[in-house]
Amino acid sequence: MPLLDIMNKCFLSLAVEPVGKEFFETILGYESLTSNKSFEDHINKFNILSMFFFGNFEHAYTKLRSASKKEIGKYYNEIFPDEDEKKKRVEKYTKQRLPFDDIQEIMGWDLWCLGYLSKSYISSINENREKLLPILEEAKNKGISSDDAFDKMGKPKGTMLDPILRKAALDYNSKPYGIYEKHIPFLKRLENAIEVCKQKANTEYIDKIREIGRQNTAAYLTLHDIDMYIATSMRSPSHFTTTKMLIKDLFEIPEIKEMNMRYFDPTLSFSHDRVDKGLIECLMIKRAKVTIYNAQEYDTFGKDSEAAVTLAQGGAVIVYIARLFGEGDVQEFKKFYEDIDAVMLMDDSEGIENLVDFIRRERYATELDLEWIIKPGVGKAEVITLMIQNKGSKLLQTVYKNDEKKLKEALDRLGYEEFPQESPTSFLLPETSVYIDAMAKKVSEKKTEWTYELFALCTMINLEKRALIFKEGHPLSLQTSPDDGVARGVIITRSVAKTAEVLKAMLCRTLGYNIEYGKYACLLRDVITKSPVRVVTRDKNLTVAFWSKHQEGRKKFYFSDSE
Amino acid sequence: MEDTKKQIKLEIVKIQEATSKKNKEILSETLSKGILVKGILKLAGRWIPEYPPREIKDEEIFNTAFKDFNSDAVVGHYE
Repeated sequence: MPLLDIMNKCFLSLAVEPVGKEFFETILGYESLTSNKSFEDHINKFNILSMFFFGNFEHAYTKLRSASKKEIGKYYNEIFPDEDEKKKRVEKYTKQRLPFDDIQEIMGWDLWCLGYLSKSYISSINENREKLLPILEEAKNKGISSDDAFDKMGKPKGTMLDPILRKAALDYNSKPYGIYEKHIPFLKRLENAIEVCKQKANTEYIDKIREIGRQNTAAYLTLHDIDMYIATSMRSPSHFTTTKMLIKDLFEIPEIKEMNMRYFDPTLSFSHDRVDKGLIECLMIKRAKVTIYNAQEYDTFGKDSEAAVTLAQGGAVIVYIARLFGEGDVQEFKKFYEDIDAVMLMDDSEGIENLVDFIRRERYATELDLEWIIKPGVGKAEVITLMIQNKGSKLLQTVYKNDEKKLKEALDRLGYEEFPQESPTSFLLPETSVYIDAMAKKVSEKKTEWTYELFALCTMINLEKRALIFKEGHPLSLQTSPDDGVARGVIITRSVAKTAEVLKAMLCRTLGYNIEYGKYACLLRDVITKSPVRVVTRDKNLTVAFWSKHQEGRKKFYFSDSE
Repeated sequence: MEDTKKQIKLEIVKIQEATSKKNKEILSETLSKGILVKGILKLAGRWIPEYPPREIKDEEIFNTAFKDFNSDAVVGHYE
């Protein structure tokens, strides 16, 4: 009896519809029957394929079990390319693609001209540039040649230079001589800043910059497809600079640089009309293969919608949530962040005992803390906050000692420029030592004094909680498409380097996936960040209700003309 | 390659023997019964995992579905 017949006998004895020869040969093959592991691996691969393309195991099996080799191979080879195919896909970007160089650069100190401007904002820029000019000229005359010496200059006069630089839109790290571009000699940067301050930002000046932005928009419209769209807020000037820095850092990574990628840089595009601007962004999202969502400090309706639309259209979304000192240059933080990632991935559906065991074993909490943490309603967010309060605080002291400037620079880079309105204690867990210390610095009934160390600590808590929300609770982290009903999730990255790795793997279609069979749902996680990119529920009632509606919707969508 | 072919032939015989012995209890020396059954059910999306799906009692469904009906069709009759 042929092997296929024997296998089909097994299928039928389990009340499962038999498979065709081509399905058997492509998906299982003879070698799948040589060991338990091999058989499980082959089944697992088909389940990955089913989740990725169909979002449903039964639909994939029904559609493909008697399909042709060509039809099955279309799906199989797409998600499981062999080494030759992987190489070809990478070469398509690195060798066959011509660079797209129609976009004109706009300098960091001019980017604010493309945003929504109020008259008071323009006056503020000019006032602060006027204030800054004599200080910069004095620095030049005195022969100041380092950042530290420059920083000290403002202090005797009771002036902090950083806020003025920021208000003058000069806190940039942008070609050719941005004030924070430390690899350029200080004098060159200083001379450049003097030139910028001498120019008055009037309507004529702003229009000139906007014209470049408008020409860039026209160039973007000529592209048929783009690889990447960046969803970001552009409300305050710091949003322009942090987005610009993310793009700059990303494209400095050689693997990304060599790809000749076509991407929409929102910081370089301008349109006079809000309707046109909205339509251009919709078009770019439609064209893009991947949307990068720059999470920044808070969500906004605009960028949230952009991420949701990308997922609903079947595209991929990478949510980048920066990490304070998380780019690998600060080794002390490496293990700490790995542990936080481990906690984020732990299953807490049955309680937080395993999380508590972990923080006890790794000494992130005292027995007193643990007593407090084992309370109803306490979850991962509180456990992570406790880890940051206890260990993060010590790490900050070890690495940055009392150098507030270093802390400030790191915070500035992420767009955290000013102390929050709320009291520091509102970010901290009560009854803990950091909380009690902060309370001791209370200056009035309602106000506790901020320090940069406390600000850094609370920023770390805020960023980690934001990542946790995106991983587990954010309504936008999962969207179903009205076209195919597949529930797609976002990929969370915590460093520019990881973002680059995921982006390249996504565009070259070389990203790998693993299935996790959870209590309530099956999750398909990518191998780099372990984010759930597809989900299938295990609730039978929900499955039937969900798919009957989606199939009905699909019929209407496809056959509306003929009905 | 020849060895693999030989091996596969042996496996076929084993599965053949196993399937002819018992129709519903498929046994083979290379593939354990549990793995084979679980694999086939997983492949077709019919595998019932070790975690059962969210339990909804029959009464609960019945009550939800019929709560708007002002009739005798209530849980009592159902039971």
